[in-house]
Amino acid sequence: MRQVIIHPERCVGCMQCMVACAVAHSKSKTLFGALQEKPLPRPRIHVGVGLYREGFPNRCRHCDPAPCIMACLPGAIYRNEEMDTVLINPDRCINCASCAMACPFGVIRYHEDSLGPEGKVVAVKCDNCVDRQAKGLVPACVEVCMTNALTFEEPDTSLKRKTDEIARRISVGAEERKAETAPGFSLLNTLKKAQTEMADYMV
Amino acid sequence: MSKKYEEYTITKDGQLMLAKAEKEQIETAWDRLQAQLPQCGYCELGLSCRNCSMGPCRVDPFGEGPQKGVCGADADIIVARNFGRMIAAGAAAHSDHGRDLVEVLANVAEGKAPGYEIKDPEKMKRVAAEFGVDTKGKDTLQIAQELADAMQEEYGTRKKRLQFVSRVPQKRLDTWEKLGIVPRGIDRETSEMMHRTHMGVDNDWQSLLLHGLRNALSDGWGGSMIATEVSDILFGTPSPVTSTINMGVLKEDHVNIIVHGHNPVVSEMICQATEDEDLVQLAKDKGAKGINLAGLCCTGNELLMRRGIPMAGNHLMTELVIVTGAVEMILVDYQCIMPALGHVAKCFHTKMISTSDKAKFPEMEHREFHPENARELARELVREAVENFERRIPERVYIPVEPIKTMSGFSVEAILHALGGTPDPLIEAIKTGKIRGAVGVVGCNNPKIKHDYGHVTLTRRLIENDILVVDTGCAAIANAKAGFKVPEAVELAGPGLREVCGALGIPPVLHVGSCVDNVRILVLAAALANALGVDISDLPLAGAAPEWYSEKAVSIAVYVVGSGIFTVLGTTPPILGSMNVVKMATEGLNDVIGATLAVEPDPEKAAILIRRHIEKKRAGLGLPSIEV
Amino acid sequence: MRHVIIGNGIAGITAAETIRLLDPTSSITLIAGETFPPYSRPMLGMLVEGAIDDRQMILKEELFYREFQIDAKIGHWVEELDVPNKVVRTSKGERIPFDRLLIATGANPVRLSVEGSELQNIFFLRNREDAVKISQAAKSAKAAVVIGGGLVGLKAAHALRKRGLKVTIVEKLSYLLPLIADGRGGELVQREAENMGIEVITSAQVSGFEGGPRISGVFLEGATTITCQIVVVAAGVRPALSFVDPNQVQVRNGLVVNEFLETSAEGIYAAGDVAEVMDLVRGENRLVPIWPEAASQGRVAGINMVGFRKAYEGAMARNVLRFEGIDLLSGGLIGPDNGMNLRIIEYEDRGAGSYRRFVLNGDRLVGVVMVNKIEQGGVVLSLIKRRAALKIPDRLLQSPYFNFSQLLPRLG
Repeated sequence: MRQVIIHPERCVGCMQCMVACAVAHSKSKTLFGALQEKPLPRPRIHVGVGLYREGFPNRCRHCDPAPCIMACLPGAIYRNEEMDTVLINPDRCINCASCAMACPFGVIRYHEDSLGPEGKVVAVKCDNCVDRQAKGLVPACVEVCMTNALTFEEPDTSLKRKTDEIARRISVGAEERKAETAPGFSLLNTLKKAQTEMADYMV
Repeated sequence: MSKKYEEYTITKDGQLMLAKAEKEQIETAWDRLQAQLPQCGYCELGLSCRNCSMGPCRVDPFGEGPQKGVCGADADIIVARNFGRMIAAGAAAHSDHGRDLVEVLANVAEGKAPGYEIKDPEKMKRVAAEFGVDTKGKDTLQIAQELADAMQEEYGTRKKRLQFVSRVPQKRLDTWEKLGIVPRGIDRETSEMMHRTHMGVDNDWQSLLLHGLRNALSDGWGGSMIATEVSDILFGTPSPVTSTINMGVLKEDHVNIIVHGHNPVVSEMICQATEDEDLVQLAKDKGAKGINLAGLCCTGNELLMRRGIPMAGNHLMTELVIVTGAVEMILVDYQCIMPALGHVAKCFHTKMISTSDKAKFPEMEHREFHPENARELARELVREAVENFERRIPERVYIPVEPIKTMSGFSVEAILHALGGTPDPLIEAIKTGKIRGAVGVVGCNNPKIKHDYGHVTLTRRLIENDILVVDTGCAAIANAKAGFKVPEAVELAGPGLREVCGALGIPPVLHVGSCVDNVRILVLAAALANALGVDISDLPLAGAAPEWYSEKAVSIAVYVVGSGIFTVLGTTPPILGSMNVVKMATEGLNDVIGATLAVEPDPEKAAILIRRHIEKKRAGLGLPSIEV
Repeated sequence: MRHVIIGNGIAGITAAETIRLLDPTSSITLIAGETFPPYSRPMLGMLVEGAIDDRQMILKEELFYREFQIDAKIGHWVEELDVPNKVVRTSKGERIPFDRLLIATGANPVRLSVEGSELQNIFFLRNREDAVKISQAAKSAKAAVVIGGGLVGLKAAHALRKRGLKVTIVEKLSYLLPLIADGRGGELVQREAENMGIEVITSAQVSGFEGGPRISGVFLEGATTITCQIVVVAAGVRPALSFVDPNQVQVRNGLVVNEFLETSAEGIYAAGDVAEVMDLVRGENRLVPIWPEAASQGRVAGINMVGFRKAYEGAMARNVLRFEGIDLLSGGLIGPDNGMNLRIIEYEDRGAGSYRRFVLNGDRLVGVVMVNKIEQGGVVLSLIKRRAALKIPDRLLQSPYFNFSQLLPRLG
């Protein structure tokens, strides 16, 4: 089945995925409406800054087995097998942060969930936009990513594409066809890397 | 905890003040940069456009998402338009600075500017003559009036060519004419750039870049040059002067007043007021030993060049200077003043005063300067600063270092004077190779680059290799703090440069002024080119802006390149979204205008690029050259 | 194959579940002393506070045993383990033979051997019954003393304070949470405790109790007396191994196990608070009595009992505590240890109210204490667990913007 797949080399750090995710998890589902809501909806995908000041869209991998499920004290985290999604039941969550200890990716946050019980701080993370998927929509983060750093596809399709890319790069005559996908962006990253490595200066 | 600040700045006072700021929980530009990361790649590449409401648009650099804006503009057009607007903004800033000076000149001529005078009437006569003003038999004020009128014309629509363009070698002028980029009017070119970049006007990226050159030239040979020349006329042409630099110029037992911003129109009046006997006495009555004036950024450069007023720091030091807790008042006018400053000052007793009707800031008291009230208002404000002395909190005062000496004041006139009246000794030195060439190291600071590391490293490598360095702006402050601006610094230079500078008693790095004073480098280059009968682009010269941040710097870089001088930038301009624009800027421009831009964040590598370029130019002139 | 599991804590029930998922046919017998359904022990503090009722703590309802075909002996305590004959005898007289045995009996609270420790209303907080008793007594009590400033002690103190009692914590060492935090972390937690009205006395030892038949005061060495009507002793736990003959199975502080969680007796496994497992940070076998360890050890023991060989990756001490306005997350080796050349990086952001202490051995992270903004705690703990060589500058760890992406090898 289709999954959200991250291609970090394409992330330009624009954070549109975060905005779209928060809006998709608001009550009004529009940007302007969401900004009026209390509590303010919050994103479940987090664009962090990497070593060379580049962006990285960090979201729940819906691991199997999931360390957070095993760590959860009240058993509030569970797997929806049909959607291959790890979900948190905000009614059972006791905000103990055992899942923060367990998640090696640091994708869980703790706040009031716009769609959960009022006034209760709970663990919140990506839910694979199961509600949107039920309506035939793609996850919100994927919908707005214009560089295709986030795609929604069968893992096999994505892997095949990657394999083909690598094969092309090393096949006969590859040098002649050396069209770089995004020379400007590669150059920008090279310069940013030089800038941060120069004189041991890092973010 | 201060150890990590060695990674933020190479300066001792910077490191110590950053540690104090952290301890006192005061936010700095470095903190805010961290919070901003990662910055949006579309914008870093120049690929986002907000010019109209059919947008906002962006182009996917990976070729799969949208490739054109709603109007149909592709990456080349969007990048070129954005770059053009940066030039327009930078040119506008410099030119407005020039305009304000011309207005003061006009007011002086009408007797409406008490405290201002014509300090260099000889220079005024020379410049007036260039504008076709007949100076025979006219008194100073009358010449001033006519010159001011003529200069105000430069800003408008009537002229077909800016006056100072006549200073360039004919070959350069021919190139500009062939390209159709001779600057006609200072405001005109900026206004036209805003027009061209409106949706649906100029949609040819090369055409846009050409106008960018024109717009920048209207700054370099227009607004900025007027600013420098009129400043010399009103406040004196700089000549060599010694002073001190870094945060140690603040004195614990004095009333400390700092001027920040750009226009000497304000800082000169403050300087006069601090010399007022009554106010100095008042300071003594309040328990201070006197009034200590220091400068930040370009207006500080102006006072240093002309009056030897000490300087406290450059762009990234402006917040930290307040953190010393020893500053009674900072007066600002415009440009490069962080809106964060007022908030930092609130943690201390420091009064923050904004003086320009064009520039208001949060948490600053607004006291507007105009030519008519400047002298009186300056006195009033210095009095208030003196009265603020007793509100200083002694336990929070920390002046981290001892000041170091620096030499300044190298206007073109002063350089020629040092050479004996003509550029011949310099030309001779270049011909023999004792001095390989000259480089202008200019520009700002940027927290993305280790503070002052870019400027100082590049300068050191250049002078080690017998290349004379002239510097302006924040770069000049960095080099001065590194100790390059004393005659003894010739020890750091290569043998040829050491010999020449040593004989003249000058440092191997010459401070030529503030950022508008970059035009002094243009004037010197033009003079050298004319003396040798070549184009500026034939000379072994280069420009470098290792840590630039501002739109003004973009305009400067473009006018320097447009004038024929290869320029290396340390921070990356937002043009990488269009490889066409990048190729033009870094290669193609050579065929078009005789010079190019390069981007190299590492100053060690930039030094090699520049040295190679200089040797190539030497070879082109038939001078002895070496392989780099 | 007859599988027998002693204990229905998280280790025991996870093992049972695992065995059944891998082996649909073998018999599984689970012997449970407590009659209440398996519950989440770390939530006991909330029960005392009255923030939850006991149904909310339940991990597995009655139907779990039926669904997973587990023969549950509820209310039986094991009194004897006969290793050569491979049989256990329970308190109700039943003799249960086994082919594979898992000892997951947990730990019992350490008793204080001072005068007066048999007085009424001196409680532990180890199981549900304890929590119910404390809750009951708190209804008519005005003041409580909690002995032990560790995790359990803090949870007890917090719960009783929330119920309006005057509470005093007495800690033997010089700062709170001495086993899982450093001095500064303990200090910050103490400040928070004091802000909510809990009195904290450190470097103090209890010398006796007074009262009769109920407790009325606690004597501290140095002649202080604290008046109270409730005492909670939270002075540590010791593995529950009274039924084990050390001549038959190797016992040190707990049951020593190999990498497959098997004890010295063949076919007998141990998991959870009873087991001395390989501590992957310290490189030696020791007790790591924390909930998530019990869960993963139960799983691995189950896999091995079924017949697959799966080595346990090793235990890592880790804890997280949310205490009023402060959060503390820690793991690995906190402080200097003999024989290891450790480097400490400390960073406190008073403005944001966060504190970090990183402990490194060369370029490997071996321990961490984080106070507040603990969301990235799992990232740091996974670095410790993986024993990854850190190729990033120290300053990144100290930054509030440290995140997972800074660990990825960069492309290009």
